Amino acid sequence: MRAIQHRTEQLRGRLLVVEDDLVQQTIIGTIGAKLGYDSVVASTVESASNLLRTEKFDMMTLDLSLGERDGVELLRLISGLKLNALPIVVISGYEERILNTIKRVAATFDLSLINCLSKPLNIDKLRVALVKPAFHRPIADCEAARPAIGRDRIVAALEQKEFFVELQPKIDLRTNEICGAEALARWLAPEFGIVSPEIFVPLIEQFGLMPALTHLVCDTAVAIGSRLIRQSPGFTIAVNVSGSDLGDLTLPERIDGILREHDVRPESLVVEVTESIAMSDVGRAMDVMSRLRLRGVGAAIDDFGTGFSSLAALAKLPFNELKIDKTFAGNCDTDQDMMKVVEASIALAKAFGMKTVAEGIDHSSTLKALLDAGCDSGQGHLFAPSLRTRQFASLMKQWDPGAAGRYPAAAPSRRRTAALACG
Amino acid sequence: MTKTVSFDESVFCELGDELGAEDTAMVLNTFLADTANRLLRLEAGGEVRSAIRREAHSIKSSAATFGFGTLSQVARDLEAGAEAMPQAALRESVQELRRAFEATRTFAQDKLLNPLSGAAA
Repeated sequence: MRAIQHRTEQLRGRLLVVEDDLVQQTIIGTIGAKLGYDSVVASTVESASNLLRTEKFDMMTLDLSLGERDGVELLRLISGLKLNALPIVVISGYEERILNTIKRVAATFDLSLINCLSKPLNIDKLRVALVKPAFHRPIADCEAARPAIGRDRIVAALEQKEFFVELQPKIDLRTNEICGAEALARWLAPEFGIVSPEIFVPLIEQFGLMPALTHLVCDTAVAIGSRLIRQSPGFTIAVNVSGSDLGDLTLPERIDGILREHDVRPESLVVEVTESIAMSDVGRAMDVMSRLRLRGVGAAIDDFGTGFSSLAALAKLPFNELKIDKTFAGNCDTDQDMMKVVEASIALAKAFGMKTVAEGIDHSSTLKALLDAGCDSGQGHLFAPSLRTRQFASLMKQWDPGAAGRYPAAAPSRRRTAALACG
Repeated sequence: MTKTVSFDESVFCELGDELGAEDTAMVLNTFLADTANRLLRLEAGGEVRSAIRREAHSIKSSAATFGFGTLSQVARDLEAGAEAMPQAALRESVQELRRAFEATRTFAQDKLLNPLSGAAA
């Protein structure tokens, strides 16, 4: 183990350089020292593991190839040690595909991967990566900051109508018209503020309260949708339905009731089915979904490609819409691997006669790539984030398909949405 | 065979700008010593193919960091063929790497280290 002392007034803390090559160690350690780090070098997975277990570091560079072993097992260790906030710069001579996978591995472990640098090392990029301040995680994401929420609290929240709905527009990519909206459940708890769905959805699943939430969201969304549909015929409103909802044989009748109450045609409603929990009872799901489809309600397979049994569900259930997950669609303009999945998903959807919806369109270059791939519609921050009902209604009124959103003149929609979201 | 040394001065200058003359000389000396050791191991011929590939990979990356194009390219060829090349071709490839290294070392000492030590003094 070597150590290189900082050589500046400004101190940045301790840098762990995991690298087996003497030359690279020296370069990285020296750059680190000049930036104000005390660098410690580890040349093997073992010594790096020991250091990570026993000492505290403020930054780490990691070469992926360490003798016969590799750096990925260290990423796993860092996650196991709950060092998720440790900023990591990965350095590797491997091809882009492998680096992309490493990025995904780090994301899966929820690690603070700052950058992936390829060899030969670009010294300027290394310096920029090392001075980049550690990104701060939102407090709500930290395990420790999560409030303990029991079943009674959620039952009360459902009764008090603390749950409400935000709408994210779906855009027809060819005409640039708003063709529908996805209704997203939100929870405003007086004592916690806005609680993230990433926190409350698993709890609701766990407590077996999903049917109650789905009913509430569906009722609210259809009520809002009825006004929007009058304004814009052909508009569809989408609600999320989980695997556990599809085990409920009364769902088609309950949805029927909601549609009748608000005088909305079944064709204007789409249920989006996620496989967040495996559809354990495919027989029941087929029963429920076929009855919904017979009534004319649309069905979308949500987050396609990320679930347990996407292809099996696609083949067995009567979906008429396929939603390409944002992990694929959102990066398809920059990541060729993702583009291949997007193209295959669109081809698969066409084979089944389904429409495609891309999630996570945040940039005009992504929109262009998806249009070229033949995607029908999409949603994402390029058009608008999820909006409160009133904001959504004014977005609909102001929306000008010729002037905004559509590539290449995509920028105005971003500004307009930002103004709306703040207003 | 390898006579001339292709050298990307802009890459080397960037390193020099970041590290300063003294540290650049130190890192370059580290590289020359480390690569000389790696070559001795390669020439001894006792290493398994995967180890040869890793040695070549290291030389390729480090040489490119300094802008030593020829040396990096020859190391890249050895890395690519290390696992599959017949024994004779492998020996030839290691000899080629030795020639590229000697040319690079001479170039580095005459054109880079001497002026650097002048600048640092």
